[in-house]
Amino acid sequence: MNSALTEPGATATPVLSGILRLDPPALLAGRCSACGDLRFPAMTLCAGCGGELIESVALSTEGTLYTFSIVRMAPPGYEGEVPYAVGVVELPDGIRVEATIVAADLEALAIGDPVGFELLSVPGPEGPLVSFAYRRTA
Amino acid sequence: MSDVVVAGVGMHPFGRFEGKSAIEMGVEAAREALADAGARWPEVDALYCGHMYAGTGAGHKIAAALGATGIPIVNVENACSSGGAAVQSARQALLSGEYRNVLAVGIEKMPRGFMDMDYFEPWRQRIGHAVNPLQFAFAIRRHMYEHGTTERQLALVAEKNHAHSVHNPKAMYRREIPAEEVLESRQVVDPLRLLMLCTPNEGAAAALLQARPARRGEVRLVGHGLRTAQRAQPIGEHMPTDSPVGVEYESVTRRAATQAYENAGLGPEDLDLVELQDTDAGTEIISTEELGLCAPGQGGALVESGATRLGGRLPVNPSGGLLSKGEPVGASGLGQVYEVANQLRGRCGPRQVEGARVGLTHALGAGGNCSVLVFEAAGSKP
Repeated sequence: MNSALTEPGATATPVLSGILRLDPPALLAGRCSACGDLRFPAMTLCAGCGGELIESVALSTEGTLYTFSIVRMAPPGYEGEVPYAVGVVELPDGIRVEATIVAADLEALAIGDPVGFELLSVPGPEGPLVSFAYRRTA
Repeated sequence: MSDVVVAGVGMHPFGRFEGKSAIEMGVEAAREALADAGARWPEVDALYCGHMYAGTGAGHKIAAALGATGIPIVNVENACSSGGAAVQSARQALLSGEYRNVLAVGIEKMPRGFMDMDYFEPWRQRIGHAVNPLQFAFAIRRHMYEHGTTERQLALVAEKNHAHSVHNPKAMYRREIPAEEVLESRQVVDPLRLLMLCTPNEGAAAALLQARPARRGEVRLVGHGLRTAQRAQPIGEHMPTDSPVGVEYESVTRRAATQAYENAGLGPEDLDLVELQDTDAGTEIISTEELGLCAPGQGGALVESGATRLGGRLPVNPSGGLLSKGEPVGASGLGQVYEVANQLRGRCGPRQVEGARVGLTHALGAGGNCSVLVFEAAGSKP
């Protein structure tokens, strides 16, 4: 079940290591210390300048919905509930990221909606994993 | 420089064929292409085989079935653009002067439902982001927002391509589907409904290309373009996890088309027909703009005007497109070549584009790779 993690436990396993800060919750990206290029998830090399020193930075928890869709049948590898929404969120950091979108009424989602970051639990092969979402705040 | 002539084409129907392997379909398509060219397999100098799911050495298995002549064989995997990439590799090999006869074949056999693609890392699959058409939905939703493209215009793409398919015995779906029915089909990835999405399926197609002067009426492959996504690509086929704000490069389709037009010495104004990547109705609308068939933002209006229907100014997907044929990803690009080559030879019967002399194919694949090919009937320009 996709439900907000209000109390992420110490043993919570992120769906991918290095992309989430659990407390306070935020998405982690990589910023090249030479040219400032920002990537999510972080790469080991800067794809902009070839720089090798990438620092982990927390992305803004507030953004706006750039585009989105509602997925109505489960794709390969996904064991959570359907339907669910996925979108592209534009952040003031100068980056857009693909993220699950949470809202009380998915059918009412619209481009430009303000959204805020939260952690999300998704089923995994050996128990729940911590994922991420942006929730409509309007 | 000698011409690259499309001497023969062949196509195994696209659909579902229980008990028949992709290799077997590829052999049939290859034999049909050879027969169409009046050529024999031992004359073939090299084989390029496009596929994504057919496993190790697919092209080698086809060659073994046709007769192990010991020729060079290269398997080409460029996702949904594999067939286009195989043909452009064949063209480059011929232009290098090393070969005279090169066979390009595309094959595929896919399960039903959303494509299971290891292009997406396991974590993206786990969180439900590994959905191919989701990316197309993102692109067209944004297009609707920016340009006022309507759901009805999306439905009209499907209506048009299905109307064309009635005349194509090699298409999987061959019935007219009115826009109203498209709009009543269930949502899959909003705003894309079931009948706005192509079906992953099975099939094969092949083309025998030869380096020699073209005779009047023969089809020449006069241009190719192959380009991949850059950092700041418009959202869509390259399936990014992120993109920068405030910079946007030209789309991969526009860059591949520019390359193909330049090396053909032709432009969109010269085209008589186009077979493009209608994996979904939205991608057709966006691709008509990016190929230069209309101004940016006008793709919805273009389909609504009827210009891209058979009988219109510039028919798009007269074969019925992927929406009607289905999309066996390794074969689909060669399926487009099959259609264009037959159109330029006047062999398409009730779906013939009157007087067609110049045609273009366009395929888009994962990783943001796009192949564009331009064909011209020899002797069509003084």
